[in-house]
Amino acid sequence: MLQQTSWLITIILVTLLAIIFLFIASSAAKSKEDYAPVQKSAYLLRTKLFVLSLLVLIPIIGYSLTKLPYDTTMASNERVKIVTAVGHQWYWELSDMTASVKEDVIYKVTSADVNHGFAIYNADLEVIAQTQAMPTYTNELRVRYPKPGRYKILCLEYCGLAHHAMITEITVSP
Amino acid sequence: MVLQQNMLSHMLLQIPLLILIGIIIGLSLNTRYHIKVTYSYALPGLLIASFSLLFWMLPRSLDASLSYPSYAVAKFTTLPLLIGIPLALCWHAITAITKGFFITQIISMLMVLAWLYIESPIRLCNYYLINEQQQLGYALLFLTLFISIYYSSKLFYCTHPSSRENTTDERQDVS
Amino acid sequence: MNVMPLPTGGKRTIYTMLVVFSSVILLMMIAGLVMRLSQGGVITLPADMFYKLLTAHGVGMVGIAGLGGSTIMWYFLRQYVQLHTSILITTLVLFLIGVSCILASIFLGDFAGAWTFLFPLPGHSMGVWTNEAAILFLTGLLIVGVAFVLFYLDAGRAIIQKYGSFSRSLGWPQLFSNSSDEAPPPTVVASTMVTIVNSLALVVGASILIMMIINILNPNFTIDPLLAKNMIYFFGHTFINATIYMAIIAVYEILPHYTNRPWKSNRIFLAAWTASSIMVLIVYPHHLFMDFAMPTWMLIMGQVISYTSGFPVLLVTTLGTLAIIYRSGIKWDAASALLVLSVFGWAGGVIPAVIDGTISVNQVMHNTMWVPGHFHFYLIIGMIAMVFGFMYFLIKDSNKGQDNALDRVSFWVYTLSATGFVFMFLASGKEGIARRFAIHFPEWQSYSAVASIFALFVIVAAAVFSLRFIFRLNAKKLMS
Repeated sequence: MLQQTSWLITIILVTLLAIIFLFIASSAAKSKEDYAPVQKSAYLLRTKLFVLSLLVLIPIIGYSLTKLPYDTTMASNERVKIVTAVGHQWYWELSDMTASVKEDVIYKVTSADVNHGFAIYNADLEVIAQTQAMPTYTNELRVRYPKPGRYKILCLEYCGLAHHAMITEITVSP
Repeated sequence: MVLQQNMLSHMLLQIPLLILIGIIIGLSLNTRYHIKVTYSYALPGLLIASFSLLFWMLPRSLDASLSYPSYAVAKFTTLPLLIGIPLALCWHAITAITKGFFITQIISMLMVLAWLYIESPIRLCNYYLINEQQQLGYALLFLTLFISIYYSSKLFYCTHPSSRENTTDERQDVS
Repeated sequence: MNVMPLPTGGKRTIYTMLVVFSSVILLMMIAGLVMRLSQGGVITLPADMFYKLLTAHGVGMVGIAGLGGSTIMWYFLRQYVQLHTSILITTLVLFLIGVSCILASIFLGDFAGAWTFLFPLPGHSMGVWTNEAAILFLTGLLIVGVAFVLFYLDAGRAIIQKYGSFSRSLGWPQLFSNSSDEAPPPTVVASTMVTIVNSLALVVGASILIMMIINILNPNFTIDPLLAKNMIYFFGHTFINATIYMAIIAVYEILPHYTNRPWKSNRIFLAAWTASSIMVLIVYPHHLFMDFAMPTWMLIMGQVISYTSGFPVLLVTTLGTLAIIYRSGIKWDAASALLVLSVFGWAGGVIPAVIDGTISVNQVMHNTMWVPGHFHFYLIIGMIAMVFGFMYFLIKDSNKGQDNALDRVSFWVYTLSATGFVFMFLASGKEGIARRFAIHFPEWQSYSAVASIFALFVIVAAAVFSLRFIFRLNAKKLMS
């Protein structure tokens, strides 16, 4: 979802930028105008663009900051499963390899040796959440599995020779 | 001496004060006898100063200066003579780049030294406790920050003499 | 502002640096192509070799981008202030010594700890490489760092000698107190900014490198891994960003030649550069969004500054470029075309960068191919295009310096294939394909295979640019 949106926004904005560049570049060599009026309107445009981007960006920043993944505090009556996940060169050690769609899981992620990245992939190989696995620190990642099935844990921080093979599976029941 | 009872004051008060004495002697020598040190002599002078400083930054040397009289004598003589005086006499004679090089090296080294004292799992000195060692580490970190901020802000507000007349400085060798 | 001519020794060193630049770029591009082919399943590369190439490609490209940017900065800054050629030569020699150490550590010592050398991986290879190899790599980086420290010390000294202080060479009197003196030229403003931020970055980088060397020699001296990560990314982020801030000087200096329209520092320009100098130093926490142990305020700052960091300079530079060429009667050739392309590449690359700088997006995009996607965008189409444009500009004033059809075709091949190449990365990122994986799942492989084709064309075009430069340089030497 977020991936698709990011991709679309990128395509649209880059295409727009390319069109502007091509349009101005294609007519640049043909005629020769005085710089002063061009510069004046460019400065005006710059101010407008600056204000416009502020107007667009500030709400986006504000909204996106309400979606932070860091807060894992839970209400006392919530049903939450707590799983420890330890990264090793080159395997994962999880205290529980199962989960249910009915409950939130809090992964307490750490590492026994070097930096690893704890990333949960769904059956379509899309990332649904991740955090870093660091020695001496524990990062808490709160996940609610969207649907039952098999999920993969991949390492997303380069950790040496068998980094790409550091894979384990989680079974999520309905 | 009172200053030696605590690791912090030993390293960050006594040693700098001894160096300062050397600097004052050096500066007065300079004004009285007009000693002109050229670039070729200044560089070795400063190298001697930095190696001597490095030596006295080592915990083992500090320890020894408390245990053996010979080390104590060495400390009280070499700090002013081998660090203070060369600093006072040679600092002006080196180029801005060499100065900058010394300063950046000192900042990096102090940062590493601070980390060493903070993180060291073992007591490095027999005379001082491990928590004093950590205090010293944090003090060194603070000193590093102070030196970096001091020099960076100086670059923003000093006005180089040659630029005041807005002339291009041709004295520098430009090959 | 009277412009000072370049001394012969300086010119020769600049040419040497550019030859080094093109050769390393081509070699590293080939390393990149080999990695993409292997990920695409076209060739089979053992995993250890893949990660060695990955390390070499990363460190080589960052280093050579630094060298390329410095070449441009020195060449133009030398027209305003008295830089020492001897220091430039020392920088180059130290750089090459450092690079040799790094290459030896990788290809003789089997070091493959990635260019980000995240603690404690270099000293913790599970027997793949030795501690000696890791120390050699870190020492090599340290030597390269010292080379750049010398370079910036000379730049800083020369700028202060001429302008009195950094606040003046950043144009603060004109910006804050309405001084009526002429503002320092864009080259001086940009050089000052880079000198400040890179000196800080290099001092921090040197410290963490020494700390890691000590830790490998005596593991009793532990390092906090999160502190190490902060220091490494502060150094790495600042350094690689500064390569663009140096190379952009070519745009400021060369496009006015083509259009007879001056590029002057006005108040908005000065304000933008001052703002970006501060922001480039505090934006690095966006590399640590997935380190939940970081203080949350730092991460929020990382996101907010990611949105605004490059923005001021980018806006003045993009609009400035478009204004300076708009109906200017510009004469298109390889140099001017590459420079305009480079501004597009920089601005375009910032778009996916900012998107990934959003914490909630980062949670599903971090360390996927999206990340190399965005930085290859503004490095290949932006930064490297700036250096190639600069190279074409240098050989232009020689008698034989006319473009022909080959240059024009190469320009378009480069533009289109580089765009295709980076969009394959971005598309892979959208699909969640992990970066830095030696072996890809079968369903991932087609992306890499297609990207390899684009990569091949990028290399061909870059080879034309490089060979053209070297041949014309030779022709020029023969004539003089």
